[in-house]
Amino acid sequence: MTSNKEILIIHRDELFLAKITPVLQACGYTIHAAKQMRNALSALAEHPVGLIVCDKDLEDISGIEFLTFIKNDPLRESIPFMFLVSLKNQCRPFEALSRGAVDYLVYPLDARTLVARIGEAFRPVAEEKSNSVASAARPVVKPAARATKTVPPALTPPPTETPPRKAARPPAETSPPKPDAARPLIVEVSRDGIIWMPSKIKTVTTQSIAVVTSLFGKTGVALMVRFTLPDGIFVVNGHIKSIVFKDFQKPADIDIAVFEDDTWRRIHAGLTQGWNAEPFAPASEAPGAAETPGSADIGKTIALADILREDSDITVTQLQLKAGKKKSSYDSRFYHSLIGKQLDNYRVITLIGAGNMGGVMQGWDVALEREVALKIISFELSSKEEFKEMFIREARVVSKLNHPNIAQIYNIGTSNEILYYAMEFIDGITLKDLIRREGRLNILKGLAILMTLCKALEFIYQSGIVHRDIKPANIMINNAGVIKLLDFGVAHKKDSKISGKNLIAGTPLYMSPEQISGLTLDHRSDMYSLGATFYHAFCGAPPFDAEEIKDILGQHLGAPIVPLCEKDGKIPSQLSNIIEKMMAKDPNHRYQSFKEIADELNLIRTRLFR
Amino acid sequence: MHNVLLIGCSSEATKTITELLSDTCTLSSRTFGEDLAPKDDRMIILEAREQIEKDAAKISRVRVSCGFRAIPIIVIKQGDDLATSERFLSAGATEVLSLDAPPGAFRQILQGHLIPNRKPLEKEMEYLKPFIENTIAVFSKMAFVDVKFREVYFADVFRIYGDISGIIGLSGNSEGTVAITFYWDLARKIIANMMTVAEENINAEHIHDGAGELINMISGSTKKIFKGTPYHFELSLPTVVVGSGHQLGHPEGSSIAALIFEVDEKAFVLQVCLQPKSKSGDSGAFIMENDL
Repeated sequence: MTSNKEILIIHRDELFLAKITPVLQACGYTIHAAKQMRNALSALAEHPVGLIVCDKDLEDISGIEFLTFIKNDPLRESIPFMFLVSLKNQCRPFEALSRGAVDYLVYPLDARTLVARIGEAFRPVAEEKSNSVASAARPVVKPAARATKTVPPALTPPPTETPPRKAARPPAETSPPKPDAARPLIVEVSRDGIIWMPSKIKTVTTQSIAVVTSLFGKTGVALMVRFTLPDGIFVVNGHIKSIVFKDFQKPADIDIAVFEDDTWRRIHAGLTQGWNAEPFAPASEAPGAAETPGSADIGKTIALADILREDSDITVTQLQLKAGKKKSSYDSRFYHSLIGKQLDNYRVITLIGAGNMGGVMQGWDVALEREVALKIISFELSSKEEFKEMFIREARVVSKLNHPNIAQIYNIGTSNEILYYAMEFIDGITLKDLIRREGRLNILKGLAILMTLCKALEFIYQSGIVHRDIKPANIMINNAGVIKLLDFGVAHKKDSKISGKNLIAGTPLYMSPEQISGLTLDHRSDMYSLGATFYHAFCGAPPFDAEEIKDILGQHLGAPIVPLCEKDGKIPSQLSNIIEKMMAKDPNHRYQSFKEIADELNLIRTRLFR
Repeated sequence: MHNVLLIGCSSEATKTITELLSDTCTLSSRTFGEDLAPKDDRMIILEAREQIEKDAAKISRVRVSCGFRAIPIIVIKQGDDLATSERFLSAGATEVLSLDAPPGAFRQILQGHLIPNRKPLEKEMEYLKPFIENTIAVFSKMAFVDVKFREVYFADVFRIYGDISGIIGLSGNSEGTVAITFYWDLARKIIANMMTVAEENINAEHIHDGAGELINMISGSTKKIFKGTPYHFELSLPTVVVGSGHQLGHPEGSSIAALIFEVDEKAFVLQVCLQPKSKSGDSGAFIMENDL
């Protein structure tokens, strides 16, 4: 039997999802991630989710609204719901509890607390269930009872507060259920084991189970009933004994005669007498969980500071434009309205991602029969001439850069009043994701990417353009291993003085001092950002780290960097020195061309190959 | 200019929509209860002003009147309660918008929905044609009715609106789902013909067998044609589902073709989501020396 502990985590922040997922996976959970209500509902339709962990805001709805929706849905109401809130928002937890959440957690999160509380989140639901059969289907989460079980919002309880390690539970098949420890129960029925329809249990006997479901059948038809428990999925075979429907718009009542086998006996005992009292092992107790590399850092990696810092991983200009979740909700709905549609010669296939400037969709060029990426300006910006111009300028800037390491622009157009441009579709991974996946880059691999980018940036410099937003997220490596520099959204002609809203444009974690100061920029500003990017890539952390964006910017302006070779003894001092020089505060103290850097990197690389 | 039909919209809502769309659309208004069948309308906008369930029932009726065509039904309402919106979406709405939404967003979303759903490419028709031909043949042979294929478009959501659906999962070289959906009046007629019983005598067993058999035969006869091609699939057992608004999972990025057929001017839809298994490997990055 396969262990199946599926959790749906709904959070807008990809970084948060990327950091939390491996930690929980290491504890044996299967994680489904969503950013929006519609994705979350799809995940709930497709997977037997045993716990929902939800941020206070989704891209298209508030967490409270989503919680309310789930608790009003008779087929999903029994799924435990855990709420994530910020320290600043103390009212939300109580509102969440009153609406049916079983627990809440406050940022910043601690790894042990997180996994322990996730493990425990199953219990409140279970304990509120009675031993009767009907309890399996009735609403099992009641605000008053939940509130009493909620752990106070301790930010980072010391390790001693973590429940002690318990002996591993014996396999489910050999562990007879004990009373008074019911588990959250998801019941689905299927004819073929592929399409599963949600169901609610009405009654159960030793030979049958009656459910309400939209799946239709007739007497005698074989039917599988799937029970999803925290410790696994159990499928019981049976056939329809009787079916009663009153209205075609409403689910039918189906009585299923089941084959009596060990699985059914276990399920039946669980439903009628209560589940094995042995609680679902807190994830922190899973073998090796505490030693998982990601989990040791989780207090830091998913702390409030990181949430803010992820916000800082967009341009400051974009930050100024950020108008809250409603805007992103409308943007998201707008982008989704385009899926399956055609803009001039381009068919919109799916949404790849969206930022504050616009959305990027995967498309298909009908005329040339090739995949394209379609960048579409957001509704808010499309109504402002200055941003439309910025969008068009980006397309023009990139279209002039004909280089194998720069994503090519194919076309810019307006279709049905929607401003877009079509560009080369790159199927691959961003450097940001690569760092996330590997922690820190292998030195040879990193050197190769850095050298390629130096050559591309030398070309950009010779073309008289300053990118102004070099960062891991804007560097992509396609499936053939070719590196592509993306997103010239804030690029400018060299030496052009920028004014107004564009005074500070870039990404705080990687911005040069002169960029922060609003001075005239040249290629050496990109050089600084490239240095900061590869500092991050080689040691796994950005050069400067702070909770507030202004503090990060302040460090770029005045704080010395810790040499890479001090952060990681395996990094050659020559490489460390190159990055340090690239990140000199004074542009005159940096290299004066990217070619110089590429030459020096080549020497290191040759030495490493020997 | 697109034709947009406003149903049951207040003067305030009509004014707002007129301001937003009059330069690109021709608007016409009807009260709810008149003939709802859209003619050449590209979009229907309905204002929700009553209790949720009453409004949902109205939306369902409008959805039925569209006969499975890709006509977006935009529901507008006061406030931005998305939980209510989900109820409307399951009843048949394409999008639910608040009158409080920023006009720019409102207009842009409507413009997005006004773009017609995409039609299949020639190479996509390769795998759709057998489904069309076999649907016509199966209905003729099993239910003794003439079926006309009306149109095909691609949708991004596998959502079943209708009273009764037969669904079958596909596995093998290709995987996905095929579903046939009817409204009750046509289902009754077809199933009565198939089972050779009077419509008024149809029972649950007839419904189950009829809908299941139809999807089984359509998929089974198509499967034979695909033997030896990347589209070849194996069939699972048919599932019959009653009720409206079910959403089925489908592979990320795959297209769902909605094939609309007519029997005596009553429509039914066959939704085909078929995706040959990708042979591409891991998308992990590696560096090629010739890139340096």
